[in-house]
Amino acid sequence: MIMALQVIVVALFFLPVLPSCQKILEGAGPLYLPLYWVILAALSIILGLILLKQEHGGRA
Amino acid sequence: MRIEFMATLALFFVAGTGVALLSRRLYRGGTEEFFVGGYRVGGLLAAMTYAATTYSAFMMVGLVGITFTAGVASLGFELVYLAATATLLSTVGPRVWRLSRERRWLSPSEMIADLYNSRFLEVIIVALYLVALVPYTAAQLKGVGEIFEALGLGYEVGVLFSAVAVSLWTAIAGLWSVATTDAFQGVWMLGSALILLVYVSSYALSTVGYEGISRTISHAGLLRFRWTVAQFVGLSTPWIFFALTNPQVVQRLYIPKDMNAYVKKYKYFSVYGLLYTILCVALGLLFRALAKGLGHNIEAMLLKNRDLVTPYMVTFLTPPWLASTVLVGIVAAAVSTADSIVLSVSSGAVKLLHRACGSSLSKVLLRLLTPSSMMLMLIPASALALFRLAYVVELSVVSSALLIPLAPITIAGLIKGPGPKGGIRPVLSLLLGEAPLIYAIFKHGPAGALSQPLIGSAPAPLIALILSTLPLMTIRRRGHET
Repeated sequence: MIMALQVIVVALFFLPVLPSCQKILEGAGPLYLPLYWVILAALSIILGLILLKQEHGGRA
Repeated sequence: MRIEFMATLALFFVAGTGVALLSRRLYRGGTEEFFVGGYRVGGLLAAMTYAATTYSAFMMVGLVGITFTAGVASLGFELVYLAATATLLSTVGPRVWRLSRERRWLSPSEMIADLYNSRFLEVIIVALYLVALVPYTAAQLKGVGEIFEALGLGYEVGVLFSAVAVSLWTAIAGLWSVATTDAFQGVWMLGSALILLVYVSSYALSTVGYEGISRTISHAGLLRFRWTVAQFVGLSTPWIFFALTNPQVVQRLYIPKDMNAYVKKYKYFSVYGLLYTILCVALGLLFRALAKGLGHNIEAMLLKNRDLVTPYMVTFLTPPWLASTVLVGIVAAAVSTADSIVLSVSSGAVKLLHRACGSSLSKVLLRLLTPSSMMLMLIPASALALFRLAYVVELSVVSSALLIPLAPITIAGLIKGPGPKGGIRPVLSLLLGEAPLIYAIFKHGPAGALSQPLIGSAPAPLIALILSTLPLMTIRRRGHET
């Protein structure tokens, strides 16, 4: 489940190549595009950490 | 400025060599110790060597320059790498870590050969590493050479200095000296970028003000997505699989001493990567807001030669001590990446030659094997750097792209598990993957090979990825092969 979410998050990075998505992000404000990517990166790091803790936390 | 730079560089070199010499206390001798630190490296050290190896001179030279010229899309390009690496490190990574100590892997070429039980594959991959990573290492040495040249110290002297630092810090205690000097250099890289950002921000606020900064950046369209689809996908794809395709980072998956250390490594590296990326992009944007005010048509000149953005920023805006610290930080980024590449590629070559020659090698020859395989990598890289091919960015990315076909091979091999022979499929996968990349390099040249569409709007890296996956589709888990 988390693994699938991580793959989706990475795929979402490519969404701004679509003109319609660019319009939405740029229309919302000048900082929304960079913020979008920073949030995705942070989300992907957190998901990875949850996965590592879940699957390997007890095995250290 | 020249004197300050030389003094800072001397301090960096002496301190780095001191750290490398101290690391000999951790080194217990033997091949496993030399190449993978005996699989007993702590979490913080593993994270710092991973970060310093991954983040090369490209960050402070290439990424700042791309942001300056093409805007904030560079943030997406660089952060997609970090997100993909976080995904790979938390999913495939633990399996690589566990298998590496079970199977006693020293190098990624040995890992793939073991997964498919094919020595022929090992020979091909070692050769591919040499072909692909010589330009990548050359790009690092070239970056240092350009800094020396800009300061009037001679391009060749810079290339030679970095080659000496790489060989010395690798030879002292192998992975231990590389990892400890990487940690030292990683702190220098991040620290100098942070101080530079604070300095440039306060300078910008006091001169053009917040409104001036945002007006210039918005007017230039730097906060809009201005890349083409092929450019963004083509340049990002090689980096998405970087953690599984580039031997210098794959080898760093083997080294944490236990799973706790592995998780710590993941955490610290991720935070480092996020911070460093944001710092570099912010520097590129801020300097663009200031460049117009510098006169002499500097902005127009930098838009044509983006690799000069950072050198100009530090020499025009900051006092000599800060400029020297930042420039030495770039040298650190280049050296820390190059020595890890040299170590990882030479580990593959050493294992291969050792197995090929078996017990017929005398002790003297065996001792000479490691330094000579390091030179096999370093000498052509230095020579290539002296030729000054293409931009730093394209040179690095093109060489990473040649390694793309290794991603499906590695993932399929890890799913399958070591043991049964992989047959012709991994070799076919490699050939099919390399074909569009090589064709694109010949068709568009190194600068456009990845960002120009090859079929429809699909760039070569994407086609390479798809083609190299096809022959591996029928590979199943161990015992379930079709």
